[in-house]
Amino acid sequence: MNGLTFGPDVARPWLARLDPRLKLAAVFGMSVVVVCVDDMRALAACCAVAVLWSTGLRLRSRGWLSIVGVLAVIVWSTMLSQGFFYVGTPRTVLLTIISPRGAGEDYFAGVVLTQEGLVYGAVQSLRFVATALAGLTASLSTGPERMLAALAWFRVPTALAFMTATALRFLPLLVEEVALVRQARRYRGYKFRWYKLPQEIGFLLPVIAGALRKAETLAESVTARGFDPRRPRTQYPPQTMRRWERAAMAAIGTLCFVLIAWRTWEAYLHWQNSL
Amino acid sequence: MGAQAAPDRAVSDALPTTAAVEGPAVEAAGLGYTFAERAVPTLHDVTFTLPRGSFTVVAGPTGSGKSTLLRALAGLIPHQASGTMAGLVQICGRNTRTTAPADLAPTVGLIVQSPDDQICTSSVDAEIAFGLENLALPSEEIGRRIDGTLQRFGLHGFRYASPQTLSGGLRQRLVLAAVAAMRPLVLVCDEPLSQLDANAARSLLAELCRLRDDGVAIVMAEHRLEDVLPHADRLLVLDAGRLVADVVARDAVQVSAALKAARLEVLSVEPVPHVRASKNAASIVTLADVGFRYPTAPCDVWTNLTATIHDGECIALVGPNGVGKSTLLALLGGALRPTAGKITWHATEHRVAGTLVPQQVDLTLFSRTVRDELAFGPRQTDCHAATVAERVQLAAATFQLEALLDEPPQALSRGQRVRTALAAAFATSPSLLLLDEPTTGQDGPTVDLVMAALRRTVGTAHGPAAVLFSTHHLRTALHYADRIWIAGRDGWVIDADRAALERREVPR
Repeated sequence: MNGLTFGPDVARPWLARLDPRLKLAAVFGMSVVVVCVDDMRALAACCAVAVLWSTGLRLRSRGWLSIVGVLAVIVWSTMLSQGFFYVGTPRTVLLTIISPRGAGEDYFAGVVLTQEGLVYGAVQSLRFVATALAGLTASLSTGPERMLAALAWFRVPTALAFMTATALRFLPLLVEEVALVRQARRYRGYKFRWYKLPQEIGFLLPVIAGALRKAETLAESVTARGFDPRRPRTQYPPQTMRRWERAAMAAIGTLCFVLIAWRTWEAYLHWQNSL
Repeated sequence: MGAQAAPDRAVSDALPTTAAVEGPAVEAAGLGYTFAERAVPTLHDVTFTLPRGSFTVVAGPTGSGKSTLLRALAGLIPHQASGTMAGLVQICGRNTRTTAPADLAPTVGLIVQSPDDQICTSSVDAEIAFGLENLALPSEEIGRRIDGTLQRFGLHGFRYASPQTLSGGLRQRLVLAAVAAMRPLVLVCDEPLSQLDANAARSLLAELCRLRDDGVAIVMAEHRLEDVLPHADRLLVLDAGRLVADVVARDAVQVSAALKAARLEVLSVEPVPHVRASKNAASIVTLADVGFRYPTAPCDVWTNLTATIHDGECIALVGPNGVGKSTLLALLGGALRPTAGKITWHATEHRVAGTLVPQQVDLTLFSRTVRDELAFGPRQTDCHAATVAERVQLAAATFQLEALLDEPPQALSRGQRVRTALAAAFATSPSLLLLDEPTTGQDGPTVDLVMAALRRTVGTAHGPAAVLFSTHHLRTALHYADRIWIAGRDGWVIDADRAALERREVPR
């Protein structure tokens, strides 16, 4: 078991009770904020809010380790790649791997680690972490059926909503299956070596084949149970939103509107000045 | 939610009542089906009629067309398939060719082998509600039906539980309950017992019989004929896509002749001859007071387990679902570490210690061809190319895969994939070959082929030194094992000699 699972069981009561429409709105709001804001401290605050929100999840330590591990790898690789390949100016060189050389058409900028690149990478990483953590918390704490209903409320086409909600249902299974494939190789004497990394991708074949078989079985099962994305469905129990949740939705909507309007106005002024 | 709007479809239309149907429940006339890109039809000229309130078993070797027939009866063929259908299927008078699956859903229900592949929600009540929401029933009616269904199927204590926390038997019962809540007149079941232990299978069969008594026509494909035939009224036998027999299920003479016609045999009780490993045979592995508990579990799965496996032994591990059979195999395979006691492997030259073939055999097939798959293990142990080739040939010959060596494993049939997975593990020549339910979903001849091959080679220079396999199939255990470990709920095991079991001298 990888410790990663989904549904109300992995959420603390306050998060489990939260209306999934509000959760989706919160994720949308977070993504708008992190895109509109450039200040490092503001982005760090967004991250802190996302981390705080994610404490509503009751995952096992291995689940947390998986999440932190993936996020750490993404942050590290984003910062390092931006540190080396940032093209903006000014550039404060921290480390030189290959010195710049040549001139004119033969100029080679070298391979250098820059302070501004690292900062830019950190900004992008914070954006990613805040959005990913908010999205993950909303996804893991909501059962597929409630997510389906919430997406339908936002007028997401039923077929797309069903695919999204079902992906949540099967994602933890896929993660588990990858672990089983690795185990199966070990049983047959396989030892991982870094030079064998390209082979690792080939080992995902049974997981992909299995996912396709599962998808086919699930499609048959839900079709035989009357699911048809072109037809209306009812919902049990009907979705009810508490008053404060409605107010929170309205606040998030207003915040998003103000931020988008502000950035659009700024862009307009910038365009005017450049004429 | 937009979908909350009152549906056009009237509830009465969605739910055909008992009185609304007077003709046969199922009528297939000249039914044929050919998959796209295949020249030979999978089903050919199948004709039969089933009345309401009947229980029909569909038998046949693996690949005989049973699942295709069931999908045609459920209305998925021709709508959700790209092949060509011939003939006619009518479910309660409704032509499946002209009726969309969603319109057939209130009339015919479908249950397939693995409950985990069908459950799509996060709680028991939501799973039951799913189909009813698709029928666009009002919320109050859905609530009433959920209450009734939970009560009827003994699931009322699990209303808000996550399906993942239920046992395999309860999950399959939930799938049945979710379909039954839609009140179908025909229920089509594709090997629903294959992953269940004897008790869970009995319980599910009892539920199906109750539905039959309520007037539902049950059509079930199953390999565990000895379990289902006593409850059935009819037996349809398919072979190579043709209906070769349509007999009364309780007529033993007719049933026996029908199964022989399809090369199926389920009633043999003659065990294969074998030589019991000598008491002086070398020990392969010793378990000393082994205990195991999962990190978040409230109690131990295994406690004080002490046993020794000797060279040349073939041991069956039997016991109910959830008792810890897979856990024990994983402990011996090294995937888990005991939380108490010790597992000691005794040195065996040039052999991998324990190789486990899990239930999900498809996850062990990651090579481009069967040949590469069989060669994977030997290549890891620094074998010479000639030795690798020799082992591949031997494994292929043992499991009758010679003709498939250049085929991609994932494109093979289920039975062939199981054989490939077993052959791949066999080719590593382990000290102890661990098999988790190798007989699941296999027909009698395939089970016999696999188990006889293992039996022949265990303890030989090229085969595994010993085999330990878990199974729900007692016939297989009695037939092929020389020791049987019977696992109980409290973490204990009875270690019984097969001869003692046959004499009914089970140690306590």
